[in-house]
Amino acid sequence: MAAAKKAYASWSFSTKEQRLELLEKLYENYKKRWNDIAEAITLEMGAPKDFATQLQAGTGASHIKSFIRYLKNFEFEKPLGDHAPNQRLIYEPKGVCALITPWNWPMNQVCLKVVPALASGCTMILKPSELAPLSSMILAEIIDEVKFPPGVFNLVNGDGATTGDALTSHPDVNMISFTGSTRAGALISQNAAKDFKRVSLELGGKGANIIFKDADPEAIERGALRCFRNSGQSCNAPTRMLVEKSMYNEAIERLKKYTEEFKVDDPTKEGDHIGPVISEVQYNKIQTLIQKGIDEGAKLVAGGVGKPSGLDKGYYVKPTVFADVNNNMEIAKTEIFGPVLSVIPFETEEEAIQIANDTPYGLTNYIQTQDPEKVKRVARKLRSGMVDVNGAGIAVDAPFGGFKHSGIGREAGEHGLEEFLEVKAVGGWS
Amino acid sequence: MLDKKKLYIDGQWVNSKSSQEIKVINPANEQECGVISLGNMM
Repeated sequence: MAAAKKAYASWSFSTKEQRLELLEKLYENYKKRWNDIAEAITLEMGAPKDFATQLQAGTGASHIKSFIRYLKNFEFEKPLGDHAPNQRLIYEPKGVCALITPWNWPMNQVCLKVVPALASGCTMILKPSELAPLSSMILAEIIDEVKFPPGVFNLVNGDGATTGDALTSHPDVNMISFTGSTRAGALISQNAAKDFKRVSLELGGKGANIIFKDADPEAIERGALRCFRNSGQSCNAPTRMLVEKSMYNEAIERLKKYTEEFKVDDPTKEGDHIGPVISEVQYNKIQTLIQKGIDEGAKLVAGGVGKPSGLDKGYYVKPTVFADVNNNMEIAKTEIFGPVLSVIPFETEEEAIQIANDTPYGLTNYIQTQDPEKVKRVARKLRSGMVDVNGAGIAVDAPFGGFKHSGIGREAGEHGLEEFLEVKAVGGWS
Repeated sequence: MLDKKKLYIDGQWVNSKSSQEIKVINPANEQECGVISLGNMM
């Protein structure tokens, strides 16, 4: 903490050019260690080899590249407007940052915080998840090689209850950026409130994927894949599939076939299978929720409790689909964080929007329809930070974050950079 | 098993002031694959 505070005095006045030069080196050295990072992610959290290389490690590189572009173009000092040339806006780094990251997308989340913090002139203490700290330690080695000034970037390890609590309650921390559970986000906010630390939170989700009867032919399978991918361990996963009544039976048949053929296997193997979930705790939680779905009367279409055949050792979960779910069931309300899809029927557009928004979360919702006017109507009414239409995907530099209990603030791109900056207004500049 | 007990502070890899450790488990085989420090001194 003392190191980060001391380094802030000079680093906060470093020039954009100095920071760009170091970030360009960071990007080059990250690319050299790309495979090491992917292997560490496979080892620590079980992402399969190809997925870990292309997506898990790949998103880290994409974010570094994107933040370099936004930093180049960012104006740290500018007039309020043509009407007020003497009113000056100055964007300054927020200070010493505590960056606390999760295990599900380790390098994506670390780069979404560390890189804009470096780019803005903040200093930082990173605490990666204690379940998946190995990839972050490689990033620390890269930052060490690049030779950022001592104290600008620091890494400590530990759990949330001890290390995370000590960091977020420390009086010398000016900003906290946290990605993780909604429960931990609330505790961190309480710590932050005592001395008005700035807080950026990216928390849970229970995304709805609204499938209208005029959806494209791949929409059902694509929706299941997006739910199961990364073993269901993504905050923006579309875990509630809302299907229009007239194609509901067909959708269930297709989901049954797709899910029964969906591959789960050893993450060190190449291929497009999914690996295990992160831990015994998560495995048990997912099993409990699958059983809860059965007990509450949802119709089990595929998967269920227990491990997939041939995978007795390791925290492997069967990709599971429930039909005839309603929004009052536990499986429709709780973020399961496993490969479990709940299918809910609807009759009208209004009903679909009502069901989608009937959750405390508001991270990402999905729309599948070929009607461009319906896309616009529904997208405007969904209460979430992101809406993904027809599999288009959300750009790597688009603002990432949620409404409601899904968090505060936005990460990635220009919004993600500004998150680490305070704005100062100066009147009578010239 | 990877020994990753050092912390990166002020531009250097240093030993943790805490002697507590956390084991990192490979979820694919339930085996320990690394060890890190449990930091508590700020």
